[in-house]
Amino acid sequence: MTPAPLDTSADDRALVDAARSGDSAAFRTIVARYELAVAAVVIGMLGPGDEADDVGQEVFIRFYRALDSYRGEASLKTYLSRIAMNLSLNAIKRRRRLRDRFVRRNELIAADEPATEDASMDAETNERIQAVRSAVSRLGEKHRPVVVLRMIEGYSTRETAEILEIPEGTVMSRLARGMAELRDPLQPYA
Amino acid sequence: MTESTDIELLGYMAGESSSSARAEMARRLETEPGLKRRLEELERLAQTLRCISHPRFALGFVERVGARTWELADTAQLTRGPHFEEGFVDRVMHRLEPELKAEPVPTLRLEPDSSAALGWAFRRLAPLATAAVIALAVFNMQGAREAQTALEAILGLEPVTLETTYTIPTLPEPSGPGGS
Repeated sequence: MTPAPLDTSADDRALVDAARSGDSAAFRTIVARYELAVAAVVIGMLGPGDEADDVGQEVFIRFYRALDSYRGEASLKTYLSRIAMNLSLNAIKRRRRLRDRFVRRNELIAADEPATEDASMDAETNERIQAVRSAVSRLGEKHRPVVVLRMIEGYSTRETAEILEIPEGTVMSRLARGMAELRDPLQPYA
Repeated sequence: MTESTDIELLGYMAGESSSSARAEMARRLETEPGLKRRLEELERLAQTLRCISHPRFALGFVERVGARTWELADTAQLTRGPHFEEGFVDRVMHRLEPELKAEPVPTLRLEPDSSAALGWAFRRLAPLATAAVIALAVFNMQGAREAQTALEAILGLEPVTLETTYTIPTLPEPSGPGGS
């Protein structure tokens, strides 16, 4: 499954207008429609777990509170992905502060790496998934968003640039550096 | 491999490079084994990364968001305070319709309000008052004594010194039939 295209549909605008006037069913449709797009960003950045779920909910809560200020300049998907990315980066910073204050370094790295295993998968697949998540979670704040959006979730360079509000050239240079960083840790799995 | 080569290869992999750049890269890949190996390496890495693509939240995400947003909506409704039923403006305008369609009623010329009247009076009296103050000051300056400061002279005050402060004014001598 690939992410839905980033076009601004008239249907989205109608849903936003209805949600603004208090139509809860319209807002529910927006949440259901963009749940996967938000999950791709938030879980891609933070790994699966309660924190990611909470940040995902917060994305839609923020959007709900700011319904009046959404003017439709960016598509709803881009707009929500942008909120999701900003909140995920904030969560990473919070984790880091917490880690720096209370947790010893070796424990901290473990805390930053999601360790959820899927019982339905074989051990080898689980190990690969854990290795990828671990390697991605070690990427810096500039490289991680680009790798998650462009390489893992399959957004185009233009879409990635639009979500992160950076030039396309910057997306590509950060992607090249991020991929270079991932080369060694993921060598045994590639 | 340099960073710029990786950028070209990543663009080529995604099919985002121009047709001429694509043709050029295809030609180079045939003649440069190192470049081909790097492309294959990047492709394998991309494939490995995709094993964590398209994650999902736990079941019931929409309901969890719903519970939080409807809570917000309820709070907003409660904090909105007393309000009329929807369409209040339309109802008012509907009732006003006959009056709005009627001939305009000639309006009376209203007196300006008190603050405007005070402003009007101040603008007219202020120059006269200023002229009176200047005239008094000039008059006082003409009768000024040497002991007076400029301020005392303008305000027409007696000079105050230590001597005058402690001197008891002499009263006039009583005069009468028994006086010498």
